[in-house]
Amino acid sequence: MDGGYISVVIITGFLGSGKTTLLRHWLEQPSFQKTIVIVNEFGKVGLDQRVLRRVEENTILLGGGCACCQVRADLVNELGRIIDLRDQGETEVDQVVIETSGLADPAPILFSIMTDSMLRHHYKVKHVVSCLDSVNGKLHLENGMEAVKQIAVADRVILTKTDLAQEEEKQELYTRIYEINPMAVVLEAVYGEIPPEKVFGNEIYGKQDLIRLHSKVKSESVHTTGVRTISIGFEKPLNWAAFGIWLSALLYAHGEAVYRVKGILDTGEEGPVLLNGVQHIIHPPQHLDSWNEEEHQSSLVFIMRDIDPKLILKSLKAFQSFIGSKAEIREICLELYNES
Amino acid sequence: MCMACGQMFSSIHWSDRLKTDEKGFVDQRVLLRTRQMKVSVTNKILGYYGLSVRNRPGGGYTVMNRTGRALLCKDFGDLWFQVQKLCGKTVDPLDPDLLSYLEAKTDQEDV
Repeated sequence: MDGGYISVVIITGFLGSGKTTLLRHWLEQPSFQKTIVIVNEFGKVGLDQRVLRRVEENTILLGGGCACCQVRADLVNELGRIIDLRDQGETEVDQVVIETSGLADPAPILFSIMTDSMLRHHYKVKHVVSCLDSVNGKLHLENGMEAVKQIAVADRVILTKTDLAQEEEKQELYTRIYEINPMAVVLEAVYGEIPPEKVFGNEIYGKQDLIRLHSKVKSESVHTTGVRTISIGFEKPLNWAAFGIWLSALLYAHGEAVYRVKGILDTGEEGPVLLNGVQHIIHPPQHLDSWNEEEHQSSLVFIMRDIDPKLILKSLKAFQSFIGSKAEIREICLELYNES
Repeated sequence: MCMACGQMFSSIHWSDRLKTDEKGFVDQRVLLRTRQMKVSVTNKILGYYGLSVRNRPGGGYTVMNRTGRALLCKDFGDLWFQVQKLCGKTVDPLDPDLLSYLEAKTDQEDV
């Protein structure tokens, strides 16, 4: 339980990527004793029936909405029912794990929880965990946009079945994952055995995630999927109001192509503003009290599909007089898209 | 509903989140300044589409076209949608024509 909120963990990954095995291991841990699991499909691996709730996947497409602005009615109903049960004293719950079906897009789940007028006061999405099979992962990432997107929106990527993969295959996968999502924390698990503390140790906004970003891999491989990652730096403090206008307009026009936005921004306040979003959906930004002796520096990362990074830079340049600072693309990611 | 002003609202748009003090309150001067700032910046952008926006007392914004047709919107999540309804175009910050317009406008102001 986090400040009265029930934490939500979303686990995505292809069929057979080890989601349920991982979950079964976690459900034996003390920190998962008040956890309810919602699944859309039953896998081969059985879970304890007492904690399991199965719902038929049922998506409502909102009028005029794009693919991420869909409401997962099944989840909204089920999460509402869980609150009722808790209030009636029939169940104890401090965490809900949503195990998605293999091809599901995690964005509508985030959208449903964060925009529902009731749910948003009871639930907080803490983490999106994506499982990737070390043996078949490469194939999944090459062939399907779904797999790429699942990696892009994840905070934690868990490489499963690492005992079956060659060291080279594994290294290749690491590189590929960091290309798609340099902010992800990548961990390995054999038979799903990885302590939850190791996975959920840091907060979703972990500042260190962004700092680490700048020392990440430089790859020479080509992006075949059109997914690009860019990191933008600003030399001076930003105007938060103007930046909000720019980003909200960008996401309104191109939200479907922007898989991820994450940033730490210097807005001239005593502390930084932390930003984290998936497509149109931005988590409530945190205005921190202090920088904790870190260098005051803004940095913004976009993971996006089919948008030329030069256009983003051009746009920021035109908006510069409002936003208050010149933007530059940091070198690590320049190398990535020079190759592609 | 806010018991102080009687306004109905159900959520705060992410771009409206401001720094709060230890009791969770936003400094009202900062709030007003930010809203004013937003209106002035948005007006520069909307000029390209022949629209304008103004603060609505009590919260939210009003977007208008030159013939006086006006639509209300509660925040910047809603504003771009209402703008699209009024002028039939999506405000796209990557649109080269809009960017040249803004740059020309900034240059004019500098002179």
